[in-house]
Amino acid sequence: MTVQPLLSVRHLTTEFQLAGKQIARALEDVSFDVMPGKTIGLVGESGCGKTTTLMSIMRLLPASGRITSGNVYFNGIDLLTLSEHEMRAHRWKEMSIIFQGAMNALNPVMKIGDQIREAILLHNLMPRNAAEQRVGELLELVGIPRLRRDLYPHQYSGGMRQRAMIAMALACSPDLLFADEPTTALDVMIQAQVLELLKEIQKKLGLAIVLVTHDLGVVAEMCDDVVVMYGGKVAEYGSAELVYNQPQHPYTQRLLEAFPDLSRSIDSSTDLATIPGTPPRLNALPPGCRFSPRCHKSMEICTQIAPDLIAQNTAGNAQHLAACHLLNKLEIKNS
Amino acid sequence: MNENWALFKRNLFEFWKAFRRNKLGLLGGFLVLTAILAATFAPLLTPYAPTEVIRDVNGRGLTFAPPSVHAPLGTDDAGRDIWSQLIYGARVSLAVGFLAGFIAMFIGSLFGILAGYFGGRIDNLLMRVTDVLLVIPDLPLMLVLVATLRQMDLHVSPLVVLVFVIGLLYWTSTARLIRSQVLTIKERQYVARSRAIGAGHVHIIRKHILPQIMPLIVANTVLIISTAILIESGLAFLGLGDPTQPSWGAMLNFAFDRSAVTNGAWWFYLPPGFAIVWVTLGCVLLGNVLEDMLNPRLTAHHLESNQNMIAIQKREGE
Amino acid sequence: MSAKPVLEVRNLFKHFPMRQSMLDMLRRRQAEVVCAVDGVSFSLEKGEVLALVGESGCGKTTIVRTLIGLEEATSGEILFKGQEVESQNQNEKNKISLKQLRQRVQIVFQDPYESLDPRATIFDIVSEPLVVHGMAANRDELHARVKMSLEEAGLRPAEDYLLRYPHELSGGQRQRVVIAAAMVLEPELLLADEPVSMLDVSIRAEILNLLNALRRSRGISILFITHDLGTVGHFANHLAVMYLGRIVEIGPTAEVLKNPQHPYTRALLSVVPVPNPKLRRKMIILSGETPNPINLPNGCRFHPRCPLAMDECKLNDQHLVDVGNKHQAACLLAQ
Repeated sequence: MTVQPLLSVRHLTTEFQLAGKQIARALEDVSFDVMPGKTIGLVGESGCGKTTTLMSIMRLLPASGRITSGNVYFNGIDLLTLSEHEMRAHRWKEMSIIFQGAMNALNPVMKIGDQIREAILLHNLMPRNAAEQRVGELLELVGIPRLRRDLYPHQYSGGMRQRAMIAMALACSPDLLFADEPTTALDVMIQAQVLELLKEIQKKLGLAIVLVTHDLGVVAEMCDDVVVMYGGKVAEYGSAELVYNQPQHPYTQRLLEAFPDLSRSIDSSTDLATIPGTPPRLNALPPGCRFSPRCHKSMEICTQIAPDLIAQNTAGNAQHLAACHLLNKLEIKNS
Repeated sequence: MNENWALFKRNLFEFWKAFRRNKLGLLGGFLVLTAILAATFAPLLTPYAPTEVIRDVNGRGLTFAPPSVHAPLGTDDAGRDIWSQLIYGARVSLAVGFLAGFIAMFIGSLFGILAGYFGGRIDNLLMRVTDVLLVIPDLPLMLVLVATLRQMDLHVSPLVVLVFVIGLLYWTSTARLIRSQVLTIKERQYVARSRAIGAGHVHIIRKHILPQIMPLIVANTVLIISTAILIESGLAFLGLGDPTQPSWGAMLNFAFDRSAVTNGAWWFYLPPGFAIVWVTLGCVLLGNVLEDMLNPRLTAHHLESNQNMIAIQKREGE
Repeated sequence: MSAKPVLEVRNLFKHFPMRQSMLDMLRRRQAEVVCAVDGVSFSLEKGEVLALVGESGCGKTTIVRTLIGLEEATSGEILFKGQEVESQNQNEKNKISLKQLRQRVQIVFQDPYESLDPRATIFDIVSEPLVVHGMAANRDELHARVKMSLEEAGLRPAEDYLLRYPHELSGGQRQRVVIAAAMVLEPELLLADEPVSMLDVSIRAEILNLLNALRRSRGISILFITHDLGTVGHFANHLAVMYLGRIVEIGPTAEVLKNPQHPYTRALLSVVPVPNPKLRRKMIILSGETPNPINLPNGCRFHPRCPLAMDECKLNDQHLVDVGNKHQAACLLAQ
């Protein structure tokens, strides 16, 4: 018996129309699966296409963005074929999103409780007093005392606001929760609280979570699977344990080395690994592998041909794929 | 100095590149520029002096003559050429407008910067003065002021009185605007950094505050000039201008005094009205567009093309 | 003791009076006071890095602002190379003036997008300290020093950057400009207020390496403010953990990290995400958030959130005690 993925993204390609009729390919051939009740992390530096992926799946791209090809299956239905009206029914009811800046996502002149109730009433045909009941339940679920329902966003602290955002996202009991840098602006202790809350909620409600972040540590703590993105493409994809312990793509390797890790060593005399240069602008992508200009293992072929994702040999049914010519070569040698 | 010049040229060029694409801005610039050129080269553009009476073969004044080859826009009740008056009137209207606009801009910016930057008592004092000026109805106040000042035998041209009255009353909105802008800039981290370096108030205002609000000042000045021209026309229409140097408002005043409307002499009152609209519309368009364009660009979306940034990155990649 | 420490802070207090309502003022009620910094002492030797770690609201940024004279200390002494710093331009004898101090102490702020004037060129920004202090005899010298500083900060060739505006640079490049501007006066002490927390992982590593290199080549001392214990291990020689305006634990970095004594330090350390899913461990998640430093609890100020609190903690306001190896902690349980 195999479990069907809840969300299945296949060959998603998204383009942006820039000023002066330029076209930037923000996403190219992005594929991954989200299993029900599991957490998947999208990691990469800023501008690598993490948020664009979310927005493409939710079909909330800005006017200049367009999905040019690919499929997004949610419970077997291709979301990209739905009408805007049908899509709206899916959003929030079955998949909802929490954003990074909780302050900007909340209406400053509306009580927190009212905002959550509004989210419920917008989608559920529920009488007002039942909705009110639900607001209380949701607040308790995210660890906010019911009494705080009548406060305004500015009376909440940063962590509380993020909790309120989560409560709002859970209003219609979705199956899938997108979290776009949910803890980036928060202190470490609050970050830990919010992450812990997400884990608890996942356990209780059986949610699947797609976590977008640039923090490798957060992904390692939270995720079952990881998608490492670079320049709008998937560089490496697989179960978190494999990706972190046997990183195959030079980009993943370098990212992990650059991450200050207290468990590894405490030594201020050695420098951290760095990746020279900056991520490519999406309207000036290098030919071949997008990472090749910054890669310390770059070969001639890397600057000409873009590598495909290659499956790695793994024990059991764990998945692990990476897009690098180095792996290809080894495979040829082995065979 | 060389690279400063290069930088200035680059900025100017980039500004022009952006400005060129803005149709409304171009239109506004065109309207204002033509008015200024007309005022500057008035003697070349006019067949008569503005006070010269055109006479027919019998030596009689050509009064209320409709537009013809002799007088392109017709003549007034005394037989003077409307076109010439209109062009020379531009000199008066624009001069009063610009001078009053600059005075208002100067006072407004100064007060706005001082109030916003230093805050506290200075802010309170300056803003209360501003509030008082804001709540007094302008027009009656100006009428009273101009009338009293003219009776005081100051031995200055009535135009000078107008310039100062308009300039000294119309800085309030600028001051408020600049103050609020300075308040936000003052809290920015680079101002804190500058203070941490050890910079004094003068340095911070000159190097960090002024460059930020300069665009606002420029755009606002253009808008205030248009207001000043309108006010001048209004006052002149009410007979408070200089009768020896007719501006557009004064022309309208004459036209109504000499019953041009009842005589059906549309060429007497339409052109000055049209000229006022021409210049003020130009100023408003230009001002609005400048305000949009010169606003400091603080964020650039990572998808936006930016040639310069790409250039640097290419070099880094090598 | 041969040389005096570059920076010595003795019993620094910074209290902010709360704004009172008119009614309270008429009633002659005592104004409430926010104790942002409440008796902090530490010293920093030449060429060393001291990290001040704590959550937002613990007073670490206030310390920095007080050190550079952006705030006036309520009481306490700040000694720069053994010389007391005058409080506010009062020209006291035997004291170093603020202006002199600001020549020798420089600050790097957190947000590279906020700390650069968008209308100034890079040259203007980097040369500003030299101009303010009249340190360059002529334009050529000014140019030479700006260029040198930029290249030292890793912006090579410097000519490419001189006439650029901040919005033309990436986040990492901007932070390098900030550092170049701070280094142009060749300061002896650098105050770094969360210099990397806004940056991507790889850029973060670059900036940390740059600061490390500057320390080694120039022998400057760095006071490093952060909320992230993860970056500290690689960078700081000494570590001070702050909670509610007090230092609760201080000592050599390796010692504190390996052998944390204060429960707060232990909790902070446990929530630092480890980039390895195999090493997930139990986090000590403190409930609630750092309280407002207005109504400080009696006894140990951490006891309301402390998982190990005893009855004694409610009465006894424990000060720092030695636990060996130059390591001090403010806890009754510390041995």
